[in-house]
Amino acid sequence: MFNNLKYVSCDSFESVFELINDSTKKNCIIAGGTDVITGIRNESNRFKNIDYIIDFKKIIKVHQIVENEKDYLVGAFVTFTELTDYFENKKEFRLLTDAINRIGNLQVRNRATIGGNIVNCAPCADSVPPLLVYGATVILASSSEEREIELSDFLVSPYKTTLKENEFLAYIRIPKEEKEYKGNFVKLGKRRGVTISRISIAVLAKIEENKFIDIRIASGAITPIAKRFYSIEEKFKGKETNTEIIKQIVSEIAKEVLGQTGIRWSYPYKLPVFQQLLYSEIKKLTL
Amino acid sequence: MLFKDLCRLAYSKGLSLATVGWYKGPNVSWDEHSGQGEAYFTYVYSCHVADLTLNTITGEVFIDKITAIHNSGTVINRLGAEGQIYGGSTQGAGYGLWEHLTTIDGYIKDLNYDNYLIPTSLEIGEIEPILIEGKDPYGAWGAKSLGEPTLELTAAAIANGVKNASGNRYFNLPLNIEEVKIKEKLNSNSLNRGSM
Repeated sequence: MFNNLKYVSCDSFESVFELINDSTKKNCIIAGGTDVITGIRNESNRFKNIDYIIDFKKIIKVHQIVENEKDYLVGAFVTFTELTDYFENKKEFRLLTDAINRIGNLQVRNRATIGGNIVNCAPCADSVPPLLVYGATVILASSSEEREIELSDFLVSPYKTTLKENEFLAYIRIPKEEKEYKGNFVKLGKRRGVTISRISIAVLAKIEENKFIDIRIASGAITPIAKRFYSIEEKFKGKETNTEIIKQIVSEIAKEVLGQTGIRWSYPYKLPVFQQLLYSEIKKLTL
Repeated sequence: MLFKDLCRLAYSKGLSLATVGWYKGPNVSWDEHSGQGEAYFTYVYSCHVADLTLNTITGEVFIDKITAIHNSGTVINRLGAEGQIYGGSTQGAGYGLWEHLTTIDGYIKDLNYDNYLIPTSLEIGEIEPILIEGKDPYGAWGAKSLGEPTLELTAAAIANGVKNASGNRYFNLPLNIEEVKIKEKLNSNSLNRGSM
């Protein structure tokens, strides 16, 4: 399975483009490799017949976090440990660091990267719901252009993104948190350590005088890809933060989830638990 | 006399410091037909108390504390004995809450530890071992056994704790989160790994 693979360590974007612009070869960009290596070993279809494995280890600019005036530019190849260390120090993006601290175990987080988690596009990717509520965008580089798109537009379906063959994810831009926002992240797994999310929820809200000035809700693992509920959020802006309204938000979201996925074997459990967790997380913000 | 001098002396006299001996346990009897008899020559007694928190929204059970009381005869190596209890209670908790082997048409579905869940160090709070010593007339230096007994009780203690908290009595293990929440086991019919 590893026999026909060639490993290439690139030291500049140009040398990467040279490889990925050759459409006769199948390339696979590797960041931490926690999905790629296991995928190849399990002979998963996504990783079959790969010619080149491209490593970015030597390209320093995608391993850095840069603070700008309005946002942070996070290199796609920053590991989860580096990312949580950085933002926990800054006391920023608590939802994101909470979510990341529950991914796998320390050994996995030391290798796995934020970009890898996004590009892999698993339904249960834990870093995605917080990034969605923070309004993160992804910056995709190709030899001809650098395009920046919303994270929610980047994710298409399970394990499928809008990334083209000749592109790679270079940076993630996260707008700086506005201080008046409060938020919560909750992950439900079968156990506490080293567990795949069964449900994850990120909520972020700005509440003034018992009204939702802004509310942002994203979920993971319950829908085919992590999802932000833009249209429902919009409906409840300016509404009062009472029990009735929160119940309405929850039931509309549950309806949308059900509409998108249909009934699944796990729903007798997951759907009521999702609704109750979502209710209690929003309720906590209003207290 | 120092131990090394003793060794040297024994070596110079051609004496071995090792010895070999035999011990035969008392006879036991077992009548297959009547199911009666003395199956073992000594018995161990123990009791586990599981102190747990049940999340009624999600069905998650967290074990805050396990108190494990074991009568194991003379304790020869206390650290080793306590270690046995920590390990056994944790394995017992896995038996009670996570370790579920699923088969489809006779094929085992859980082929690795990503699907077959065992407890990690984050799953269990404190474990307090209490050893009640007593000199057993048959075991070596009065010791009895403390391997298997440590893992047999925890699952039952947890199931009783869940009954106490939720009012529901479960008759099969493990008590996974779905079952605790909706009182039925859910199984996907696919061999694929995943969380949907």
